[in-house]
Amino acid sequence: MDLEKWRSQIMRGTLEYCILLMLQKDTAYGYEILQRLSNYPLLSSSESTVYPLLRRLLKEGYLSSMWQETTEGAPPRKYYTITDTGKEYIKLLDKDWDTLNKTINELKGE
Amino acid sequence: MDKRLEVYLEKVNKYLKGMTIDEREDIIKEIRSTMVDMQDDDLVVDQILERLGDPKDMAKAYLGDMITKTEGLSFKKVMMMIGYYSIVGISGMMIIPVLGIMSPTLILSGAVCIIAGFLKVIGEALGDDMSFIMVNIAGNSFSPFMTLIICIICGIAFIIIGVIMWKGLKYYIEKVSVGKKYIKA
Repeated sequence: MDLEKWRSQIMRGTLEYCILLMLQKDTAYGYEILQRLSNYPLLSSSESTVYPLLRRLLKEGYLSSMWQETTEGAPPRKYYTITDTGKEYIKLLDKDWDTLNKTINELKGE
Repeated sequence: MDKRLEVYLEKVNKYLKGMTIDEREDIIKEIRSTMVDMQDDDLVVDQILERLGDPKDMAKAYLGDMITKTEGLSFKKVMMMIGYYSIVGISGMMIIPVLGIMSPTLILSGAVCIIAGFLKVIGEALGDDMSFIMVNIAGNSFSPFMTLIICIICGIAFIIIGVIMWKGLKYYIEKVSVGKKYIKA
């Protein structure tokens, strides 16, 4: 049984939702987002997946970003914040997610 | 910063052609800051490079995501597509148009060839020799019946080659788009 394929397919659709939810709670920079995702086995992703995704969410106006200097002379970090459009978008995604959950529970016969 | 990490960033930057300088700078700056964060987390250069993966794939991921998710066809998008396909391989710029034109043309020519062969025989039977249809191989012309046989053989060969090319084209496009899907994952 090949779970990898199924997992990568769920991931593709939900990663964006998860990142938005994460950023709704608080602002974070790219590496921080990756570290948090790595706490969850299903969500753990690489830089080459997450960074382009963040970039697209920026372009679509769901996120805004700001370069912030770090204290110890390290290079600045790019912080991502959710926008109002992003919050609206999450609400729509929430609805779909709830529907999906209900559907699955129904199919399971619960 | 370690030389190998600098080389990595340079490579990504090079592969991002098609994006504006501002965008490229922004991307490189973000990856650079990530590298520093990783070093602070005690990752050694080899581990960092392993995590980031092939610089080509990294650039492809940026280009691929922008191409597939942005709507409409803008000049910028076309430039990015050129960038993307120049990584996927110049093969695409050759294979798709060549197969795309040759395959239907061969199938059509094959069909016309067979029809012409039959016309020649029918014409002969009706008393018109259909002189505009003839097979000429090294200066030898053939009887109407032989013309039909040659036409059928050539026609079928053309169609078979055309169909094989068509399948090849489909296979190629699928392969390239699987690559694109993989980038999005």
